[in-house]
Amino acid sequence: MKREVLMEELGVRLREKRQLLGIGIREAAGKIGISQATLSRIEVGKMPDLDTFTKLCDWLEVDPNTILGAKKPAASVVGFSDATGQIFAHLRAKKTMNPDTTLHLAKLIEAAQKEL
Amino acid sequence: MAIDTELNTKDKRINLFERGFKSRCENLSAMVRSKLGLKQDDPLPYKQLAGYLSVDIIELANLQHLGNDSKTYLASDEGNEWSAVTVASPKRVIVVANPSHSEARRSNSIMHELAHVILEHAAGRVYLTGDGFALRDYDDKQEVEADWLAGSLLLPRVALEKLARLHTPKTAALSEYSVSSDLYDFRRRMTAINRQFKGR
Repeated sequence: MKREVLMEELGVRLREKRQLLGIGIREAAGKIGISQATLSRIEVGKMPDLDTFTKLCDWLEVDPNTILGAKKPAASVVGFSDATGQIFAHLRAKKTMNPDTTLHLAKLIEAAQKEL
Repeated sequence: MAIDTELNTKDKRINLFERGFKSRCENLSAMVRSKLGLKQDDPLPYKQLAGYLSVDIIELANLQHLGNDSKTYLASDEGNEWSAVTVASPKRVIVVANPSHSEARRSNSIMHELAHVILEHAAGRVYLTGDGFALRDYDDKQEVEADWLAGSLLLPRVALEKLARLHTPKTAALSEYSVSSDLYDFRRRMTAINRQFKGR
């Protein structure tokens, strides 16, 4: 599944749950433990950071792999053991980004690691 | 994100600092200048500090293993959501900064990355799945600490005091210290130099 679709699906799920509970973005953000601005951006398809993603999955009561579209057995919310790669880097960037930006930044980080 | 927005956000996150952190940053700034043979109120070029820390700054265009599509995207308006990246091994540390940003902004971004190195911050995790989906850690405390130390390295209080005492025009100060107008104003406000020299 393409990243844009995954993020759209996350946004749709968040909106659906809000509507089901009859609450607005502000109240939902408070319950999730993130800012209203962050929730708004994610609902329109921006990519969350890892901590925010974990909180969203907790609130939606879904396995993160369902959103990630992983084929392997469910990973723990914290561990994401299905991920094919876990690398380490400092990244100065917006807290939420376009899915395309995260993809190309991931490639940049991989390429930089090969220079080490 | 525009620099001024970053700085406004930073204002609100300052309570993340541990007691004494800001003084430590001023001390680190003085110590680094001393090691480099600079006066405490001299400008500190990021290239000089990177050399001292044995950090390599690599241009995006020169990354051998990165495809041209990624290079083009990451230097475009659409991909303008990142400022800099640092990766490290026990043998080497590499920083890559966004080439589309102004020199003043790149200077602040690279100093921010060097601040992570100085403060020995643990790098965040970046998870990649098979279809290219990527998620990453975001540590508010580390980010705000690196922001503050970067500002202290570029414009320590003693430098701001000298500039104010000499009535150095703002444009000359920005050029001399290679900083943005937003960072200059932010540092003057946060170090209370603007109040100390008000009306002088």
